[in-house]
Amino acid sequence: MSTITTTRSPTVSLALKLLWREWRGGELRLLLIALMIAVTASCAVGFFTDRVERALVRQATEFLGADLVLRTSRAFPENLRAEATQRNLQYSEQLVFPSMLINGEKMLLSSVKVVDDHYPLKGEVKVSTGRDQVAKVIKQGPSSGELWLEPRVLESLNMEVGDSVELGASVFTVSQMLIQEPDRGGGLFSLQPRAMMHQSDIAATEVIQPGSRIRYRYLFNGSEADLEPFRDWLEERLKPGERILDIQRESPSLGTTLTRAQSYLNLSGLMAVIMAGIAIAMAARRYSERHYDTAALLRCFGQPQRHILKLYSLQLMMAGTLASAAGVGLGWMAQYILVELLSGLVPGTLPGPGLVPALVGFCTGMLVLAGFALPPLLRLSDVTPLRVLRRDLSPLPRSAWLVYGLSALLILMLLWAYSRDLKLTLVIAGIGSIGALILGVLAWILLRSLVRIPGPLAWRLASKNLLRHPRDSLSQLFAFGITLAAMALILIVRSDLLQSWQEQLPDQAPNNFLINIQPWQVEELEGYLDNKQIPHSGVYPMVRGRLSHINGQEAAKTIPEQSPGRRAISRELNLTWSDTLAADNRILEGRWWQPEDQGKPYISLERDLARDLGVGIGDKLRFSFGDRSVESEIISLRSLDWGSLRPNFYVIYPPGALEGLPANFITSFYLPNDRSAELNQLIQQFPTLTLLEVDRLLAQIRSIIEQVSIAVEYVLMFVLAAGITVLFAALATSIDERLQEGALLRTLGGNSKTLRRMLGLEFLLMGALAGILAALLDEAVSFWLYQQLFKLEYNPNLALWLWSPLAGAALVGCSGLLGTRKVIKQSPLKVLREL
Amino acid sequence: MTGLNNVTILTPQTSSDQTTSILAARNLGKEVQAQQGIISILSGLDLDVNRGESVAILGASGAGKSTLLGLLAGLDTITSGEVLLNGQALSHLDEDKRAQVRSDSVGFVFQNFQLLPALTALENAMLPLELKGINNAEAEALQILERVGLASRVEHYPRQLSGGEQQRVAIARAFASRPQLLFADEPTGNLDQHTGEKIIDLLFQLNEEQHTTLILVTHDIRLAERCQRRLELTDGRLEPML
Ligand SMILES: Nc1ncnc2c1ncn2[C@@H]1O[C@H](COP(=O)(O)OP(=O)(O)O)[C@@H](O)[C@H]1O
Ligand SMILES: [Mg+2]
Repeated sequence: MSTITTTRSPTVSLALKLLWREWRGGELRLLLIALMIAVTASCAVGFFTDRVERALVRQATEFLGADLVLRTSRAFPENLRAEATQRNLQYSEQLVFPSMLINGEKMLLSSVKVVDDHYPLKGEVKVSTGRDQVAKVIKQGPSSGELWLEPRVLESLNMEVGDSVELGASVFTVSQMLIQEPDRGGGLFSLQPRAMMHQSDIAATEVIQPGSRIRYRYLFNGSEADLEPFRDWLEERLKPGERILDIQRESPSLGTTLTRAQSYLNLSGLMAVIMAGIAIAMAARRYSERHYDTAALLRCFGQPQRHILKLYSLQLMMAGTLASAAGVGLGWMAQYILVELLSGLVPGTLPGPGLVPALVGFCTGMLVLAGFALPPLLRLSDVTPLRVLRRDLSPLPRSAWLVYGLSALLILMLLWAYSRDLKLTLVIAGIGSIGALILGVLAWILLRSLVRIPGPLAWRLASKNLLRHPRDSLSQLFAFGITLAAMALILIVRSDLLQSWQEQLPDQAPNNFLINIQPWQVEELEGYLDNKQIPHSGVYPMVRGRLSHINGQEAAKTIPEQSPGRRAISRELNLTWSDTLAADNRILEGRWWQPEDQGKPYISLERDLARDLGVGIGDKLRFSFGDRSVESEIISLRSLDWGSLRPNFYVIYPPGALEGLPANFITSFYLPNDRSAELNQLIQQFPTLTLLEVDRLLAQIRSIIEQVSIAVEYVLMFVLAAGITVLFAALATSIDERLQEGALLRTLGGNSKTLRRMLGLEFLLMGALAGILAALLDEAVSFWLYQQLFKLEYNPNLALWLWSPLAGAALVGCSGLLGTRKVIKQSPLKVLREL
Repeated sequence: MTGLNNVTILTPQTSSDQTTSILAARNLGKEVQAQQGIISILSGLDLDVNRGESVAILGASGAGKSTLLGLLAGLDTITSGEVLLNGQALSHLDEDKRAQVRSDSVGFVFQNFQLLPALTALENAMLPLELKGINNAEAEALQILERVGLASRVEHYPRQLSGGEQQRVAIARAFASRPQLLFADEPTGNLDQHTGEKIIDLLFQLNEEQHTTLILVTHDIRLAERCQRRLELTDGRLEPML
């Protein structure tokens, strides 16, 4: 034996051995279970949202027809096919133009889509060979010589598959009935009845003449990495009137639904992670406090501080690895069960679970562990060896700012990774820390004042208990408060989101548009619709004009090339006049017309356009209408709902201001499917009007919304589950003290009724206080969330102030009593002996 | 004079028992489930304690003294045999009924004081009285705190008191409800000799004043000497010490 022994640095195998002992002794169980639940919850959310998100994106891109679409009104000069091939992108091109289809006496204006061999890049086409035939799903368009027509075209023209029809200078035989095409998007005005043909037949029809109204669509598919530079390349070459479309921009109502859904799912993931973190922090603190004696003993045996630190960090890391891996596995299974449960509801097939959520989940586990468990564990190395003699020597928190700064940073990183939104992260962190400070002081005052309230013994014991370790009580209060806030927030946002989606597509959303109404037909048409009891959105005049000057300056010179406002000046806008404000429009600034404004050159401008153009109330816009122009003053800014499927306009004049300009009118109305025969009567009555049916577009949007709603509901359940975990983890942190106290009270003759009353009161108090904190927190966070993230109107939620404390009291009260049953059940001697 | 010699068969709640024996154990046994299997801590143990008597229980560490005290006070469940406290058979009572018995007639002093940290000295001393539902709890508690010499520290919290002072609060708490029986488990074990002696003096003074029956577990032979009777716990039974 050597006389001088140096203590060896702890090895992995020693840490592993100790870890096993700890687990066997039940010491680490709570922490690891909290971590596992955390990873399971966040993984299941991750896997599931990832799959649903990918399904949504897939469906939405199908709606668009490709990942990226370039839309122009003249053929694009560059060789896009070559460019795309070179850039590893799939490529397809289309022409869309209106043309008459003629069958003997009957004619119908239809929208002809000309496709190439690569059609469709996304999704599938549904066709059939006759009204009674089974529809077929195929992944190709018509071949050379074929013409496909929608059923209603066949109906209107009184034709069957196999009949001939004239299109321009050609005669085609209709070879298929076109039931559904994936890329029906592209705005309402493209929704004329569809005819589809192949590229190679277009020359023979001779319909493409100089001045024809043709839209060119160039479609590209590829990975985001390949698309990104290509989008830049394209943007540099864009001319006025040419647009790049992607899912976010294509269909406004689909776009916002998708964005909100993604925001919501991310928010849910974030909340699950925060709550898991809290649970872990509480479990780690308990673990650490229960190990002060062990650490002191190890120090006594001559282990230096850094060895103890290393030992516990090693243990923690290994435990974290195991628990995180288990959590990933469990999360993976959980989402399978989830998808299985939803198989009848989730339309179509979901893409398989990705590897990324597994990785993210695992890293989340390790990061949450490091961020939340490290600070309390660091204190273990600070335990003075003197503690073996004097047990009351608890370690002081070491340079608290450093330790908590580190974990705050880790948490921020996590939040960011989860929300994929730096602003959201910073706001939540900011509100969180400032709020915590204010709420802490508030909660402290509340706690202090509770003790002053006289009451029976159980009340006094309960309130005194809360005050005994103010830091513990406050941290429990925060854990409960934040958890309640997160759960309430997710609940509130969910119902508001679902409601806004429902409202966005009310059951009676207009499903028919009438355009090309001539001024002299307006009165007759309104009479006809009223007579047939078809409610309509009002008949709006439509004048096409170009924005030429802003405050006297040439618009093309004042609005920079790259700015979003450029889109408004590079094309003709649809303007209208009206004396009443549509129901889905709201005046945000300025005022709506007074009777004396009649005929004055005033305008009401949509707020996003105003922002893009950098103008406001009092600014002057000059619109040119052919050879006439009108200098117009902005006297109000408006918000409107593009998703409402009513005719909506960026610019509204008061009646009379556009007197004498050529206008035609537009309206929309709702007609139930069983009354669609009346559409034919309407067309016979007004043969020159163009009728657009948008039922299919609506159905597509509805199915997406339904899918999103289901996802929202299920993700909510995971968040709630994570919340319950926190409740129990927080309870476990104080169970030792409660057991001791309960045993002592019983030794002194207290019966189970007194004990139960005391515990119940304590938890009710704690829950109610946490509920108040939660309400405060939620108001602050949701104020910002609604305005910035979901773009929904924010109303203070008064009911929240009532039900949040109530729900908090009930939830914490019940789970508290449940979690502390042992206090009442266990033999007092056993407890007192173990101290 | 072992318990066995003194007593014939006791039936619960006869008036004659109440006058002579306040506490009795009959063929008492306690087994616990441990990892290695069932261990028997006490078996076939008999004991009789008369009203006003003071009894010291000695024994090696781990002999089962605390276990015995717990069973006698109804803090734990009996495996076999019976404990009669004031004539009541404890094995027939549920935990709440036993709590009632404790509240009515039993006081405790522990080695590690066991004060509630959230409560002041006064509140700690009041606690048993309040649990009993007594109205002038505060006055009584103040009086007894004065008696143990802590009149000036009534508003202090346990963490602000020394070990000896904490134990005095615990003694005040034990005597505040004027129990017929006081159990003390190594009450001087955590105190220095000087402080320990003062605590012992206090215990016996109050014992005299209130005619309390005292059951004392201790290592301290001088403390044991002051009791009327000394018993040693070995192999799960009590034997008288000479
Ligand atoms: N619940 C229990 N589980 C396992 N062993 C126990 C339990 N209660 C007591 N013991 C054991 O019984 C023996 C007696 O304990 P105790 O009554 O505390 O002894 P003493 O107070 O005389 O030192 C000890 O060996 C102890 O480990
Ligand atoms: Mg003992």
